[in-house]
Amino acid sequence: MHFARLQRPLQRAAASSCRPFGAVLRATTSLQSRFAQLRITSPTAANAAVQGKRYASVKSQGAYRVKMKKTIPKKLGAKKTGDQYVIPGNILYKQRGTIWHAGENALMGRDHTIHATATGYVKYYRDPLLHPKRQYIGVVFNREDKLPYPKGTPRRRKLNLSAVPRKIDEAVEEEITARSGIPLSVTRHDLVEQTTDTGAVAADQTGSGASSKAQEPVPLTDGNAVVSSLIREKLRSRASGQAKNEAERLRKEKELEARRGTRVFRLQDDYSYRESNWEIGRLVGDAGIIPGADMTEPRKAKFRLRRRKRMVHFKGIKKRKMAKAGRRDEYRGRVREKRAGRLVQRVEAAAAVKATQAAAAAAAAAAKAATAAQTKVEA
Amino acid sequence: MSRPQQVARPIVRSLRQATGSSAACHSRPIALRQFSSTSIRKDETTTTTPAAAEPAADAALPGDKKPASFSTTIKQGSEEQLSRFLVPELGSRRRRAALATTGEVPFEQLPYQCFQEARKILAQDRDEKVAKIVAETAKAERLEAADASTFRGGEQYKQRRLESLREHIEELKILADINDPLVKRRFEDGKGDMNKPVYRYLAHRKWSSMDRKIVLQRLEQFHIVPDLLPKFEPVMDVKMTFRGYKVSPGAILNSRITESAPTLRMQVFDKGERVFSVVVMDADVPDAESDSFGKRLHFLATNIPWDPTKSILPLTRVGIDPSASTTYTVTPEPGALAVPWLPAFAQKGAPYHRMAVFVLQHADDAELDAAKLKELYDGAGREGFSLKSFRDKFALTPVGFSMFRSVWDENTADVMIRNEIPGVDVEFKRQRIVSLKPPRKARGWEAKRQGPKFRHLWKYTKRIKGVSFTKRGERKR
Repeated sequence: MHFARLQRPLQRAAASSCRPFGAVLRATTSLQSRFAQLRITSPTAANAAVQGKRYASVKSQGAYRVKMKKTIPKKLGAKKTGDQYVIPGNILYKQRGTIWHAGENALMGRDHTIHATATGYVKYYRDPLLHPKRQYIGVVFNREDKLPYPKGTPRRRKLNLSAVPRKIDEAVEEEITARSGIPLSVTRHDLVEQTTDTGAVAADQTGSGASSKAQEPVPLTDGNAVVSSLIREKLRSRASGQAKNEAERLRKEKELEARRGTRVFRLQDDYSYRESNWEIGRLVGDAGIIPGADMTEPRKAKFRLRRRKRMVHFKGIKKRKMAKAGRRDEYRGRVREKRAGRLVQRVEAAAAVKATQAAAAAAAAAAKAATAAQTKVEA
Repeated sequence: MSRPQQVARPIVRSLRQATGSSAACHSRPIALRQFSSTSIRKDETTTTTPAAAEPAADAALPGDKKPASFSTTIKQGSEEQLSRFLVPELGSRRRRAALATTGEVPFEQLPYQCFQEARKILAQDRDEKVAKIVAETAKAERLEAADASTFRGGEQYKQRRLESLREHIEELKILADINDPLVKRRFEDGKGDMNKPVYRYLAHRKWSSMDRKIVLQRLEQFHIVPDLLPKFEPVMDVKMTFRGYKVSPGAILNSRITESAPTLRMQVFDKGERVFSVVVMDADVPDAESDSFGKRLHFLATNIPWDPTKSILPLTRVGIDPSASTTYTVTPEPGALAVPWLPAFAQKGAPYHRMAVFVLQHADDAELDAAKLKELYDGAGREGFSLKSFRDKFALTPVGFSMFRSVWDENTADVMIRNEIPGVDVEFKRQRIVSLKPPRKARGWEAKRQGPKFRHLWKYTKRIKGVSFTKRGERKR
C-alpha cells in the first residue's frame, strides 16, 4: 500500500513527460483529466514527501531575540507637561545628567530623575537669583501660581495631615489565669549561688570610692604636683573603668545564671504545661547570639596576625644575621688590630735588634780601635 | 718615625701596660651596659646628684611656701565635668595648669625674660597709640569748632570728616589695649569691663568666631528667613538656658523643660543704653481646616532696658509683681510683660514646631505701651501673630535670635492639661493620596477561580490571609 502511494506521483510524472504534446490536447480526453495533467506538483515538494521531511508550522525559537543593548530605548524625557496635575512620587522628567534641576516641591532621584513631592501642578521655570543657568521643574499648589516665588516671602506649605481624635494607648492588663481558672503559666526557680553577688558589690564599692576621691581638690604647689595629680586621676579612672567592666560582666553572668535557673512553663492548647521553644533556645545564651558562633576570629584578623608573626620571624632572622655580621666584623677588626700590633712589635723588635747589633758592632769597632790604639801605644 | 719618637714609644708602651687594668676597663663597661638599664657606679657620682638637686631649686624659685591669699585649689575632673559649671574663671586646661605652676606671683611680674621684654615693647606701643589718640581727639575738637563754610564741601563734608575721625579714634582705643596680656587675661576670666571698647571688641570677635555662625546657619536651615522675616542679620549674642541647662540653638526640647520661660544671656557689642522687646513665637502651628501652618505668639515682654554690661535676663521675672509671691521674694527684672509665657507644645503627629526667640530693639529708645500690646496680642491675639507686622507697626529692629524646637513627647499631654491648653485630644494623621491610575482587576490563580464553577476549589481560593469573604463566597467590601 505504502509503496503504491509513493509510486503514483512518479508514474504520473513519467507519463506526463513522455506523452506527446498533441495527445494532451486531444479532444477525447475529458476536461477534468486535462486540468489534472496541467496541475503540476512542485518537484521539491514531491522530493520532500519522498525523503520524509516536514516543515515547521510553529515558528522556531530565537525569533524574538533581545535586541542590541545600544538600541534599547531609554524612554527619557518629560513624563509630565507643564500645568499637569501630579501626586507625590510621580516622575516628572527622566534624564541623563542634570538637564533639569529639582525646584519647588520636587526632588532629584539617584539617576537624576525628577519626582514630585507634593500634589499640585507642574511648572517648568528658571530662577536667575538661585542660579543663572539652571532650569528647574517644580510643583505648585495652585495652578495659576508662577514659579519662582518672589524672594523674601514665606514658603508655601501644606499640612497634608488631618486631625482625628487621639488614640490613648492604655496599658493592657495581662491575664494570669485561663477562663477555666487554671494559671496560664507556672514559673519554677532554681537556687542561685550567692558568691558572685558579693564580688559584684565589692567591685561597685571600689568604683564608687574611686569616683568620690576624684572630686577632692588638689593643693597647688608646683607643676609637678599638677602633672602627678593628672596622672593619678587617669590611673584612677582607668581602674574604675576596669572595675565597672568587670562588674558589668559579673552582672550579665549572674543574669544568665538566674535565667537558666528560672523556667517558665506555659499553658498549651491541650492543657499541658510546656516551655516555649524560644525560651529553651535562650538557655544557651542571649538573644541574637548563637553559642559557639560568637567571638570568632575574623578572617582578616587571622591573616593580619599571620602576617605579623611572619614579619617578626623574618625580622628576627635579619636581626640575628646583622648581629652575626657585626660580631664577625668586630672579630676581624680585632684580629686586624692584633696583627698590626704584632707587626709593629716585630718591626720594633727588629729595629731594636738592629740597634743593639749596631751598638755591639760599634762597641766592637771601638774596642778594636781601642785595642789597636793600645797596641799602637804599647808598640 | 723621628728619632725621639722611636726612643719614647717603648717607654710609653711600658707605661700603658703598667696601668693596663684601668685603661682596659674603660671600654668594657660600655659593652656591658648595653644590657643593663642602671648606671654604673662611676657614672652615678658624676651625673645623678646634680640632676636631683637642680629641679628642686627651680621649683623653689617662683614662690616661697607662704600660705596663699587666693584660692590655691583647682577643681579636678574631666573637661566635660568642669564645663558643666559654666564659670568663665575656670578657663581651659592650659590656663589652669599655668595658674597652678606660677603660684601667687602676680601675672605681670612673672619672671620670664622674654615675657618681660615683650611687655616693654607692648607698653611702648601703647604709649604711641595713646599719644595718637590725644592728637586725633584734639584734631576732632578743632574740626568741630571750625566753621563749616571754610570747607569746600560745607557742613556735610565736616560731619563726614568728624564721623570718620571718631571711628578712627575708636579703632585706636581698641588697638592700644588689644595686645595687652592683662586685658586678654581679664577677658578670658570674664572680668572684662564691657564699657571699654577693647572688651566689647574681644567679645564680639569671640561671638563671631562660632556662635554667630551657628545662629546664621539655624536661620537658614530652619527657614526662619523668609518664613518669619524677609531679611535678618543678628548683631547681638543671645544664649538660652532652661532651668539652668544650656540649650544649643535649634535643639528639640522636652515639653516638661519648656513649661517655664527660659533665661536669656544677652550680650550687645556696641556702647550705650537701649530698650528691647523679647518675642517668643511658634512658626509651625498646624491648621487642619485650611491645610496649612499658622503662627502663634508664646511670649512678649517689652521696655527692657539693656546695655553692654548686662548679661542675664530671666524671662520669668520680667515685669512680675514682687508682692504677689508670698512664699519667697523674687527681684523683678525691669520691663513690662505684655503676653505671659505659654508653654511650648506640639500636638501628636504634627511635625516639629520651631520656637523662635527674637530680641527687637526699639527705635530711639522709645518705650512701647504695654497695655496696648496686651490688648492687641494677649488671648485670642496670640494666634496668627506676625513678627513682620509687629516690627513694622512699632518701628522695631530685630537684633538677636535664638531658637528651640518642640515635638510631641510623653510629657506634652500633662503639660497641656496643666496649663489648660485645648487640643490634647487631637492627633494628626497622614491624608491618603489617591492614585491617578484606574483601579485594576484582581489577578492571579485565586482570582480566576472565585466563581461558582470552581466551588470545589473554594476551600483553597477563599481562604486567603488578609482577605475576608461572606458566607456566600463573595468578597467583603
